[in-house]
Amino acid sequence: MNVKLHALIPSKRRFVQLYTALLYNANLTGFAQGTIYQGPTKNVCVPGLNCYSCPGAVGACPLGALQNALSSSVSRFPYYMLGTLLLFGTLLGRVICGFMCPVGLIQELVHKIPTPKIPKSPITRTLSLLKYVILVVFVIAIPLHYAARDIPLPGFCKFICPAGTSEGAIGLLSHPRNSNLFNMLAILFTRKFIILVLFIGFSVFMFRPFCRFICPLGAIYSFFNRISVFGVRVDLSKCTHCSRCVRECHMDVKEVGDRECIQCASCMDVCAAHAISFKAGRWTIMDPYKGLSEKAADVKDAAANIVKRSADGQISLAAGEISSTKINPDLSADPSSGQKDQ
Amino acid sequence: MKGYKIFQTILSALVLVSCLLIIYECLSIYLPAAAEGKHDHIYSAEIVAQHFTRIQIPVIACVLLSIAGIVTAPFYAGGKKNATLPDAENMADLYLSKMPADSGKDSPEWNVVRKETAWRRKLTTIGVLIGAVCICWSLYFIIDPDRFESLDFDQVTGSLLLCIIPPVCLALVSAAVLSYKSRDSWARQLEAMKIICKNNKEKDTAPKDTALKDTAALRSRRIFIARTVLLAAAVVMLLLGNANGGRFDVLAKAIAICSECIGLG
Amino acid sequence: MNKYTLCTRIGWAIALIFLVGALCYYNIPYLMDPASQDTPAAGPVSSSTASLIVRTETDEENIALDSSQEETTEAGGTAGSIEESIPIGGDVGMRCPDFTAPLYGDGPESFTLSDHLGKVIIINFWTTFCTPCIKELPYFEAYAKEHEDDVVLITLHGMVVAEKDMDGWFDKHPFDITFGLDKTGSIQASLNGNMVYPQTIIVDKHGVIVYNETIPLTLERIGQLADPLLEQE
Repeated sequence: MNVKLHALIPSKRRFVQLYTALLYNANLTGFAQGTIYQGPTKNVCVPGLNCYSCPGAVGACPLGALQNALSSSVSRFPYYMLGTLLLFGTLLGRVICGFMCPVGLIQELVHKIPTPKIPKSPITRTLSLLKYVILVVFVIAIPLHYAARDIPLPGFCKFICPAGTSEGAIGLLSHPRNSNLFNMLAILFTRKFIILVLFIGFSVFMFRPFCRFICPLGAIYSFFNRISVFGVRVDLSKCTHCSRCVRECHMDVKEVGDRECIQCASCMDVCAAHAISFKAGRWTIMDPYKGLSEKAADVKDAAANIVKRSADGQISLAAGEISSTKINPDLSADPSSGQKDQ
Repeated sequence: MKGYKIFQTILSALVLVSCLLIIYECLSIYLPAAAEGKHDHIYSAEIVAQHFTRIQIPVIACVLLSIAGIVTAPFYAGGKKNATLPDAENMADLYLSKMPADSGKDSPEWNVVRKETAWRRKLTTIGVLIGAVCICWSLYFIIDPDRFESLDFDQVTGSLLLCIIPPVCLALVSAAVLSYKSRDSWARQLEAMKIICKNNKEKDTAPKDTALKDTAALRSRRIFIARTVLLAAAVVMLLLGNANGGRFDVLAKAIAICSECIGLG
Repeated sequence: MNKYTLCTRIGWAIALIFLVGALCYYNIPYLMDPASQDTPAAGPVSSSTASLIVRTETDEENIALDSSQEETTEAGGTAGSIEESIPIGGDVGMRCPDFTAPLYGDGPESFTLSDHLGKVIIINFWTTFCTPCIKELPYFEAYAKEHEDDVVLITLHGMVVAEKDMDGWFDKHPFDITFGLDKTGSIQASLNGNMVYPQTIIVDKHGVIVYNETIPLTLERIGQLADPLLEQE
């Protein structure tokens, strides 16, 4: 019972997500008054996706600001936005997706609803390429084409973004002061609202469908995944290639740290060889097995369903685990026989 | 637990039904008004409340049941998660790390390995070719400025999407097919690799480790250089952007309510 | 407690203090005085943005005019008798508050509302960032041209874009309309606006507001709204 109650306590990552969601929307006055914040911190973009028309938003949305910068790119080169994205990407990469994005948080919370889930497959891995198409068409091409005619058109914000509809529209319209805005709702809102409802519906059955298939910001940060300072690191000298990390991962990764990895570090807890840690440059920030005694490590392993190593090196395989070469290099035993335990 | 499975099924049905009902009500507000030719004053707080009361029972039931489900999930779902089984590619990854280097030996297993590796290389080439063709095909539409003459943005975007749906679908479908074929290839190679590893279990793996360390060191040096260069470039660009007015663009847009972002009009 | 746990706990403590600090910074001014936060210009504005929003004498005149308008009962103007019992405000049915706005381009230096009473006045708030606003400017231009004698059109551009950019914008979009500047947003605020664009206000010949909505308009709709007012005496 104790373990199960423990499962209700949010993980560290959830706390960080809640913290950043609250920090990005610290202007609670806006919700009380139905206005948006207009002060100096809106010079700065927040790293994750948070609409700047949300009453609580205290910073600018990177996607909206990027599209806007591209709209005025005819008169000035968008140095500021490119610099911002480069900075966030090189420092954090997709850690932003895993830890600092309110849209990701909402999807994960909705995903907790206990229904049967659609598993990942080569099809979902292929579909994850769709976000690059959306990046090119909606975020880059449409604003640039209309930039030549000095018409600002943020393609993604206008046609797709669910954050704008949920935070901006619903946030603003819920205040009676903005009742005149209700009259402005038409086809655009209807389309975007339906897209929002579909995303929430899909999030119940799939893990983070917006992040995997649609989000252009995720597409931009995915280019930085190998070189970001913060992120997940696999110690190759310890790795036994059991691929449990890839199997347990909810995203469509082929290996930990590739373009689809949102650096959420959930694989840290399931690695049988304790090879995965969360790093910042050369330093390790999170390593759940560092400094743990053998006994404590075994308890953690049991909780994560990892195989227990007995004294003489024999392993009880469960759920298809592969034996570590250091313990039992005898590969004449067909490891796939372990699958019968499942 | 059977009861829990039934609860899960009911919950999924409720979620689906609630989403569909919300979409239906939204359309039932918009479509009649659009048919009359109205472009504004379609929604209002009263109309929304009125339509919501029609579907309030399933939606509120869904929300309440979902919360109940989330809270009770740890108690009923059981402690043991169903781990996913390794597929052919996962297993192949394991055996690849154990295999000795290819010494040119002519044995049935090694031949299979070489044949499958060559086949996968061919698949990748085909994939890249199809991808390149599809990219060029869709870029042809995306780059064309005449397509963006009209100010009817919905029509422009709609027609652009229609034009690039064939190449995008072709690319995605071929990528999916190729990845399934690649999986089958790994499965065939796996059997051969198992036999090779079995016959080579006495081999020393030390040389591989040092080779691993060298590549890791080189890679980390390259990554360090890339990071430093990019961070420096980012800082320079931020300062340039501040100077040439880019920062003010961001501020200006952020402090006015972006009516398009929130769906007005 | 080893070094690692200590560092983590200090990190969390700093993060928490930062969050509490941010919440206080953004919300305490409102908690202290809810009323003062109601106008757009009253948000915390740093010196860097303030330097772009240069407060000139015109703004003081704006505010002085507005307040004097409320003190005196006569609203000026040259057309007929204005009901003195109708209050001044931004709602439909109220008298439109007077304002003076500086103008762009060659021509008159500024626009004062009370100088043009006796004609139908269309006030439109827009910004260069707002696509629907730019789409409807040609409609306003066409309508104003068609009814040049009876209609006065003033489009007020919100404060959000630096003035130095506007010359380039006007070269690219040669509209034949009166472009004015609402530097601090106070004019729009006096007309129930809240930095949302496009907002259109139509004032009849007596200075009473008959339409005040934040919706993009088409030529037909402008005609629908303003034609009945043209027949007024």
